[in-house]
Amino acid sequence: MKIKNIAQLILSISSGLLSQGSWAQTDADLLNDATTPKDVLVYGMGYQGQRFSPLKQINKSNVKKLVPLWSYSMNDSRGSESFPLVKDGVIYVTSHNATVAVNALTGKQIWKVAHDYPPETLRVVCCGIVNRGAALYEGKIIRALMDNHIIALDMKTGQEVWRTASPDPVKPENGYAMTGAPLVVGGVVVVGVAGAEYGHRGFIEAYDANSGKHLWRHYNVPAAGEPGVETWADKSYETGGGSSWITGTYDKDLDLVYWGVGNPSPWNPRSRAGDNLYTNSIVALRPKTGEMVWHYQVSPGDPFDYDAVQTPVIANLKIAGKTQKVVMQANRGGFLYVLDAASGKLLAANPFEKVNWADSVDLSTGKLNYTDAYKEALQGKKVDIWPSSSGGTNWQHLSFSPITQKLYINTLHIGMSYEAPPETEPYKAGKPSGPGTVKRKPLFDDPNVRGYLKAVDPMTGKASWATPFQSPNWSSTMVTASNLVFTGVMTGEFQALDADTGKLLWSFQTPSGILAQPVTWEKDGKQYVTIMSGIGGVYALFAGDPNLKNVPSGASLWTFGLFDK
Amino acid sequence: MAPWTHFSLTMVLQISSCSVATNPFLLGLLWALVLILGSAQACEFTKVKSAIDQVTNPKEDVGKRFKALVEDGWNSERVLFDLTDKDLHPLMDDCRPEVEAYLNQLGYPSVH
Repeated sequence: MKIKNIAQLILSISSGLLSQGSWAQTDADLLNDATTPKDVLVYGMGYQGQRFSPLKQINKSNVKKLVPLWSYSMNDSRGSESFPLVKDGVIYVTSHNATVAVNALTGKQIWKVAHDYPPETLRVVCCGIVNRGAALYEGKIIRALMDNHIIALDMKTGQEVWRTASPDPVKPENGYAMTGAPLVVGGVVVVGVAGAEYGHRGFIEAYDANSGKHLWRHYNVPAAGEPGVETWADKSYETGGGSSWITGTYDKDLDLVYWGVGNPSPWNPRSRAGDNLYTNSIVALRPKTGEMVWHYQVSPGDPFDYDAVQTPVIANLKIAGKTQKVVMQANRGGFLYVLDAASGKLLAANPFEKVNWADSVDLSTGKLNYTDAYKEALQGKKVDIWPSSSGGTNWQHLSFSPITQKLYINTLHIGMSYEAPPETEPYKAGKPSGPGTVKRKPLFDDPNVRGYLKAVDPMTGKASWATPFQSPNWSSTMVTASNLVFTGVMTGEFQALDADTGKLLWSFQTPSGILAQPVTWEKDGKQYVTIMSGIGGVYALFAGDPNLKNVPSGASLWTFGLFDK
Repeated sequence: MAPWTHFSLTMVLQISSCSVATNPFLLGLLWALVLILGSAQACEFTKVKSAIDQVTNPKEDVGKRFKALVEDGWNSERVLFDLTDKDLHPLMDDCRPEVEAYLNQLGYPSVH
């Protein structure tokens, strides 16, 4: 071969590698996502799930100049909860039935792929027909479909690269549906599942990111003969719930994936006496094998649907003068848990919202000190309970600022009257096992204040400020290094608040309600903020909140930047 | 409705049209087939809406019962199923999101 040809070959290979490199998201890229704010590659703006951005071009003094640059119609009327991924000037978002790639600077569609699912799928989607996002890995966008398929699409074209059906018994008729975003760790796609309102047996499972091959499944409810099954009465474990519908986090040093596990099924606790492991738990798994290294059960034998799916956020906290790596969860039951990331040891557990079912948590044993209201609820008596089944917060993600050391939490301030009558029929997989099994009515301290955005100290649960909202915010929060907190409002306002005081600094009315996840990114030296608008989801559809009566549906994607003309 | 379902239903109707009126067994079989073939299909809301309107009608006894049970704290969707003819349940099951949205519209949200 002549030298010229060899040179051409080298050039060709190099250019191919470079080209692939610009599209590929290597493990290193994903690991560094939180510190490389030009792109948003991982659900939660980094494996830690902090939703913190080091960007500070948009700050308290200029945020008033934030203006919409473009909006993009999803051509859909369902709820928009998707997390936007940003890579090389392209934004990728999902809905329940489509994945799209949009030019990040212009809002022009690059490609759109529609996803069909059988109509019966929707029978077991309890809480809004939604999808919360995708994952990126080596030129592919990977997502779950409502009918329990995992697919990988080519990021450039949207062409399908692989498609795998979640293995048996994962079918809608058995109560399974997938609405959450996957998490890719070292070439392993970790996926959760919904369905604890339909008597399924929940799990967390994994696929090979390059081939789609199913790698492992970790059931969140033990089967006969397995450790923990003794915490279930009779055969109640067979329809025991324990879904995993919100994406977890990953720590490279410890090589652990942290994932929240949902409520036991049925909601009515009278047929499943016991702690019901591993429902309502935070679990730490090895991503390569699914091996459970530790678990912490937040509320054993839960009667109230206080599932623990909220993303366990990883951070380094200064505790007693020493920096410690922790995972933090603002749990639906109203307590804020701080656990040692390596061992799962409880470090703090304090209320961040109004709670009356337990007084406190014993730090040495992790046992809850239950109130009489809780004990009477288990006896079938009618009691008033705070928070309601919707929780002190729900799935909406909090954010954590390493600068202020505060968590920014959208809370719900709603209680309930509760009664669990004796059960009359045995439960069956695939049949409703949730809200219809107990009697409840909402309670309000003030019907015009049903939620707050709070800045909360992780170790005490105390809020340094709390900004009230007429309806609870179902949007996630995001905090920046310029001490701005971004969030969306159910009536459509996209807002920025002062992270130090909670003061509203900027608001823009989008066409529908917001229950999505803000992100920020940088291109050519300019900072942008992106979020979806589109009402739907469990609260808007099922709470009967009069404040939302005149909020139109319609999903759209919005990007904002500072007005610089 | 899926094409095969439409074809099957048409066949059943054609075969049975001559004798169905005089044969209770065939009538029962036809109804069972309609329910089976009709299950796991896209929502056909017209019949379901009519059933909801009936069960929630405040002028009817059933409507008063519905309201009382919901006000007592029972979930509206469950009460709807409890007070509706079981034959309709497969159709209602196919329409759960629509049922929930309509109950919400009527002021009876299926509170989660």
